[in-house]
Amino acid sequence: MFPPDLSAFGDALTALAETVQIAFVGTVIGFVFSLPVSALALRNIFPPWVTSTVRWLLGIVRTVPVLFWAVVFVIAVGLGPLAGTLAVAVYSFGYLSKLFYEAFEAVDAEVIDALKVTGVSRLVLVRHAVFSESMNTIVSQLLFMFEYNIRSSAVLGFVGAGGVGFLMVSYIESLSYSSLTTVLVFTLATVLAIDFLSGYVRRRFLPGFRPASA
Amino acid sequence: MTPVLTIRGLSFSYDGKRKILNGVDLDLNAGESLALMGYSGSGKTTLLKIVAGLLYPYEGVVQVKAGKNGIGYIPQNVGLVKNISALENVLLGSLGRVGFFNGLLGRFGDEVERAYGLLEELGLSEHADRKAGLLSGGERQRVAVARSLMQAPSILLADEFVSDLDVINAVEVMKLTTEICRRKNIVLMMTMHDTYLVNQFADRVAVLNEGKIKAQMPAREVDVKSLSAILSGGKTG
Repeated sequence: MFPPDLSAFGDALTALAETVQIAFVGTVIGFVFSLPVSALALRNIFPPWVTSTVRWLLGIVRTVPVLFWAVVFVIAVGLGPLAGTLAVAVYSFGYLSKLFYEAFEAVDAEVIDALKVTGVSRLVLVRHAVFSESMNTIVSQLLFMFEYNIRSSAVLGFVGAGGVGFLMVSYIESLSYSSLTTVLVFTLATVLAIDFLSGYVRRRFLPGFRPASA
Repeated sequence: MTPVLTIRGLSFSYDGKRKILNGVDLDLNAGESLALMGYSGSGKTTLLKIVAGLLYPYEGVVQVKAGKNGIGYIPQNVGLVKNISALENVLLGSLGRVGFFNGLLGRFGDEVERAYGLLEELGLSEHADRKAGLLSGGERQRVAVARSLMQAPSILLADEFVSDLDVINAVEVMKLTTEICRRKNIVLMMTMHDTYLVNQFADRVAVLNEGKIKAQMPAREVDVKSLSAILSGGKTG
């Protein structure tokens, strides 16, 4: 495995870029769908038959691992990054919805009460009281999901759903372990870079963050 | 004069067993300010929430002579959205007036001018763009008052809304709120513990104990001694 084969650098970079794209687009799609659906799971705003149904469906989506979703979408749309993106989107949808409705239900009941008396509809109430009050949590959990999806997208290629995993499998099968090392090192560097970037975004934009004193 | 708020035989229980309110009768006229007093846990907040339409079902009659969305409510911790500005919080009070789509899209039209006007009236013009979470306690209370007034209410319900403030700020907020309510003929119904503030700013006091209104009297007559006598069963009215 050592030393790493630097001639694999170009291929590794292209595959990693695809992995980041899969994770990014998948997270965004999952986020867009999870926001309204998680609102429908709020027991302090919507009636029990709505919230129970939504929570039950989300539970099913969440139970299925991302790799299984990748297999499903490879069968449905064929090999490649589209299948990976859809798998990440569905997985993110299930998880973000759960994280969001837990956070949304923790919104101060007094904020909701104060706006309920204005005669506002449930959807407008969610938009102004719940989403606004939870904005920091939404951003924080979205960053977490993106970081997580970078890691999980790296293995989607094992089942043919695009990204760096596909390259890893082909190097393993052709016994090119030095090239595999190059890919692993660059994957690690990318994951660390994304962690660093999201840490910066948290510090810069989320209030209340105080680094611990020495 | 026909009362703006009429309550008859109001009873309520959270668990279906213990009645937190047990036959409350109360009338309030336009422009009147009533202080609800009593022990903590005596049902003052529950009574406000029922009038606000936030708690049901209940037994009895709560009759409100007010237009659509004519009841403003300021919760104990004021219930502002901390991530948005004071002006945006005030505008939320008009959500029931601007219609569904405008509300959803956050389009408030002429209401913005009204909101600025109310902030000015409450001495908050310079804080309009500050996030609510960065305002002081007194400023937050005044933003909450402005938000309720955006509804153009006939009744304003305030739940211990100055109890967390120092006396100077409490007096200022109470003065501004009661003056505006009198001028606009709004019924002000508030739960309070401080007899000094009650003497200064309320017209009438209703003492709630064991689920009933035990006594009503002019606010200037209330002091700790008379209140203790009523709460310990010395006087009913």
